[in-house]
Amino acid sequence: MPAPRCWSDRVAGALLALVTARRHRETFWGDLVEASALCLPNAAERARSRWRLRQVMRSAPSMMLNRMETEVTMRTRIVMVVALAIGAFLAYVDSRPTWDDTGVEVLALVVCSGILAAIAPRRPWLIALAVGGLMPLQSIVMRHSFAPLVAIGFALVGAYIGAGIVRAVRSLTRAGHPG
Amino acid sequence: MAKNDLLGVFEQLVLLALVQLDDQGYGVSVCRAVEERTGRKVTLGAVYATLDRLERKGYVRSRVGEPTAERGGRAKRLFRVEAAGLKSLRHSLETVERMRAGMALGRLRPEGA
Repeated sequence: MPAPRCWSDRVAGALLALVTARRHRETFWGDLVEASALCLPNAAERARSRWRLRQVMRSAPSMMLNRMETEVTMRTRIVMVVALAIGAFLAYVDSRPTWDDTGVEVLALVVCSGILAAIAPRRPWLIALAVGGLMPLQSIVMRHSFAPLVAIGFALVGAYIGAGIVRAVRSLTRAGHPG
Repeated sequence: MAKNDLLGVFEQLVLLALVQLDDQGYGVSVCRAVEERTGRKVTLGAVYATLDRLERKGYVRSRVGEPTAERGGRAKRLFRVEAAGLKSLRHSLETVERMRAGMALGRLRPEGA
């Protein structure tokens, strides 16, 4: 039966899953366990666990950059730049005092996120954040209003629909052409 | 040798550590070797990122070893230096040596020393 893990190990594990390339997750955690035992030979498991969390936090920037270098394709990078540009444009339009057509904004959020997530369907949530995140951000900073946070929700819906359609089409195509 | 084949300082340190560890180096051992020899604090993340980059360049090759109890049942990823890595390391060290040769290093000493 595995030993119960403390909260700092859980946090470290979650952060590690976010920033570390898939191929290194197991070995990196093993290295952390070994290094914590070497650096704190007489310490309790809780202290070692906190040491591991600090190490993961210190390592996060370089691990994240490495993951982007190895796992994020050029297509995803271009899609992310386009998503951020669309997000910035929508945030600008939303900030204009003369603009009052929420329906058009919602449609733009859903459609743009959907199309971009269909082009790069691996991380729909990231595209949704890029398209729909800037609008609530500027609203919170400029007007102290949290209501536009719902824009992220619409962007998420669009992105997952777009990615879902592409994945379904791909699996159907594969099923139709075995081997 | 092309310009991009010159190794960065940290890449050189990691490759030298792997050579020193006789191709049995992995994250923790490389980290400790660099820390002991240079006296500089190194994060495991920086070592992993560098090893990954060197592997993409074809300078090192990795394999997954056996899981062990002291690592919580996790395996090690062991790295060995390839011939291309040794060649690039030699080239980088020779380049620094050529720059240094014949140079009066007095100006590099700390003031008052």
